[in-house]
Amino acid sequence: MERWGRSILRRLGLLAVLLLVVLFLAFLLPRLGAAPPVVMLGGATAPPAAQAQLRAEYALDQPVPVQFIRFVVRMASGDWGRSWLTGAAVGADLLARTPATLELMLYAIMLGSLLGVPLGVTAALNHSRPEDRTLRGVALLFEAMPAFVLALLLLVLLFSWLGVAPAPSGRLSIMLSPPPHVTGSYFIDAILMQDGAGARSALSQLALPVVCLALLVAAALVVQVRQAILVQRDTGHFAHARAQGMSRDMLGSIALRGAAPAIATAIGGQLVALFAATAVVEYVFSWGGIGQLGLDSIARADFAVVQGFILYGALFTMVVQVLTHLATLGFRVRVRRA
Amino acid sequence: MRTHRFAQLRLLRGVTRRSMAAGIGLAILLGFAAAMVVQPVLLPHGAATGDVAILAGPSLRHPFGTDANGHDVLARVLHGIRYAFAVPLAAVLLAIAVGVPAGMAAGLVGGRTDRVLQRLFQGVMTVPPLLLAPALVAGMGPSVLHAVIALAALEAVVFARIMGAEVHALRRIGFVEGNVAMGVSLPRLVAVHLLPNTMAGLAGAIPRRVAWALATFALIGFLGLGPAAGATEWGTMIRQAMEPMLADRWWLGVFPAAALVMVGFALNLLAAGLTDLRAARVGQAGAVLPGAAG
Repeated sequence: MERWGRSILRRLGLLAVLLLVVLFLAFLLPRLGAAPPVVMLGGATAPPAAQAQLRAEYALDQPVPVQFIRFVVRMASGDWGRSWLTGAAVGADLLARTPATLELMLYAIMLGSLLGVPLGVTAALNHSRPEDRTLRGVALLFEAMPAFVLALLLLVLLFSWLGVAPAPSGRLSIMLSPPPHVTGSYFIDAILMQDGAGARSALSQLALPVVCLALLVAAALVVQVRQAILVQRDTGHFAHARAQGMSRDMLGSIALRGAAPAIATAIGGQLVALFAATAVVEYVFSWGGIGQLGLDSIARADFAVVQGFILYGALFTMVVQVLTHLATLGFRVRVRRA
Repeated sequence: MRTHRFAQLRLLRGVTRRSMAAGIGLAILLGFAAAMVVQPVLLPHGAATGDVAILAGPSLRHPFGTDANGHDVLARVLHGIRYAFAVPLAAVLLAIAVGVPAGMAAGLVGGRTDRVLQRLFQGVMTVPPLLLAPALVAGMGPSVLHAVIALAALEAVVFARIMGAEVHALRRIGFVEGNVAMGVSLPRLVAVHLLPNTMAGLAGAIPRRVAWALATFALIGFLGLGPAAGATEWGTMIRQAMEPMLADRWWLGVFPAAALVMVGFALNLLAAGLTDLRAARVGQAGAVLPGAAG
């Protein structure tokens, strides 16, 4: 227990250092030269008086190190600034849009794992046979698809041609109004309100983006889970079990148990990767979550929002990595006790 | 003389024979390279097609259809190969030129400098790189050159981390100390002993890094931060086809998307084949496949 405590403290210190690096990157973005910050804020034609006011307001007249310290203090105190274009408070906006994005990510990681882990195990147990080659080939093909490409291809196929998917117009049919806010998930909230039409619409809007993200997760997991199982195949206890003449299913479950920490790490890695993929898919489907806000702001050079978005993404990565680490620690404790 | 001239060809044939995946990947890439070379001669892009076929679907005359300007989409897709090859390759080469010496130096110096650098790299990688790349381009201002710089900067961090890990692995087995004790000079240590022994790990990562740069550059174009609108870059083409492709003009977006996926798939096959070859030589059941970064 004491060892755990020390390790947690060390990790917290590390996270603080990493956050400082991320804040520096965010601070750098609007200063990379596209235009002087004052011009970005006020436009190229702002009169000198307005420019001077902006410089004072954003402390642009201070030396750069002072600007950075002020930026760090401001972000750390929870004031993430206001959008340069809409004036909306960045922190509140990101928070309000979080449920929409989390909903996509959680369904996608669940569906993707349910698809990818068994297929990866199948591939490994049929190592070098046609099943393995086919699965790996298909996985490599899907891994080669940028998220926006897969999203658009699915839309052309299922919306334009077959007409079974709804238009990419956000989280709910444009004919319906959102259910009252309880959890923030339109699907769950509509069910809670016993709103059948709303729930059906929310589910059908969810289907395509979730399938798209889940396919990307599954493709990556097939390759990684296959690898994790193959490593187990080379261990002593696996050879022992095989020598005892255990059945294929038993061998599979032995390999799966040994590979569990590696698989948990792989799923954690995919959850991290999902943050970026979800943003891209949201952009295509006009989802209205944090990802669409972030990419829209990048495309429009609205750096107050971009900075918040970058920091949000980094915090998400850190949280998932810590949770993944704890999960694998849990596995290791079980192994040690056994 | 003869053996010398064809040595590289033999090496290619050897790779192809031992790994079908790598062979297919190479063949696809060579096919695209050939198409890139012959396209200006056979199918000059941008020229009006001669007939008044505006927004015509695929036909024998225009296998990929025509766009709103009456231009042949096949010619435009083939013309876009130069972006797909030049930008990721330039970014990765630049990244190797910067990242490898940086990682090597950090690994050799060790101690606090190394730890600080590793934390810095780790911090940069905490931000999803797929999102950081377009954000960097937006900060510098949209252009192809800025896209190359942004991609190279992020890839350089990856290569520096790979190199640092390789040098550390060699240090752990006493490789560096052994050579220093034998009086090997620093330049000789780096050039003769360290580089060849880290090359395998580095080379294996290259196809995957090129594939990542290709996909991320396409996203930059898709967000409108790449070349100017109307360019033949595939991400930019898909951006402009986004609305029409969902309203029955599918050929405007599906063909550039298919080309993008084909090149990425070929690079993935090459990467998988190389990993298998290396694993076969090392004698393990497959080797570690690094997860897609973002």
